[in-house]
Amino acid sequence: MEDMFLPLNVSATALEAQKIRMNTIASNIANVNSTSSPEGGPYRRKDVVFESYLYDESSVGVNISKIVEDERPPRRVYDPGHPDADKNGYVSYPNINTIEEMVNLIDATHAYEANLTLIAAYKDMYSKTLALTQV
Amino acid sequence: MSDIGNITTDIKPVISEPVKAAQKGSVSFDNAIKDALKEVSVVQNNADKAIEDFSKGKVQDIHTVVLAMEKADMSMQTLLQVRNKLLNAYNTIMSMQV
Repeated sequence: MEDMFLPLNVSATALEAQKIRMNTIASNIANVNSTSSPEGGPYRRKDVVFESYLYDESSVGVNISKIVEDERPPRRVYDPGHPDADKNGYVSYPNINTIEEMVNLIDATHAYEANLTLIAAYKDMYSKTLALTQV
Repeated sequence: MSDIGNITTDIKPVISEPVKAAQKGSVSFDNAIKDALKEVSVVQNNADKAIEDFSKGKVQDIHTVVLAMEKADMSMQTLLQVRNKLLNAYNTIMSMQV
C-alpha cells in the first residue's frame, strides 16, 4: 500500500523543502533594512542548501541540509545620525538585493507548483487506471 | 479414441497449474480483502488525524494534510473499484441460467 504513495511522499519532501526556502526568502525581504540583529551587526542574508537523500531504492527525496549565511559584505551608507552608525558615520545595511530575492521567490513558487503538478498527474494516472475496471 | 486420451493428458498439467499457484500464495481471498480494508482504514484514520491536528494548530503545513486526504481518497477509490468488480462477478454468477 505504501508503495503506491511513493511518488506522493517524494513530492511531499520537495514541497516541505520549498516551503522552508520560502521562509528564508521571506526573512531576507523582510529584513532588507535591518541594521541590527541578535547576533550583532546588520542582518545577514540567509540561503538554504538542498540535499538529496535515498527515500527508497527507486526514489530520492530532498531535504534541507543546512541554512547558510551569505558572506557578501554589508552595504555601507553614510548616515551619521543613525543609531547604528559606526564612529566614521557609516551604517551597515544587509547585503540583500531585492531583485535577486524576487527571482528566488519566483523560482521557489514554480518549484512548488511543479511538485503539485506531479501529485495531480500521478493521481490522474491512478484514477485512469482504476477506470479500466469499468470497461 | 487414443487421440482423445492424449488430449486429456495434454490438458491436465495446464489445468493443475492455477491450483498449484493458488496453494502457493497462502493468503486466502477473504483475508486479502480484510487486510486491504484494514489498510484503507489506517489511511483514512491518518487523514482524519491530519485534519484534526491542522485545525488544532499542531500541524502547520497544509500540504501534509492535503496529501493525507489525497492518499485516503486514492485508497478509498481503489477499494470501491474492487468492491464493484466483486459485486459484478457475484451478480453475473447469480443470474446464470441453470
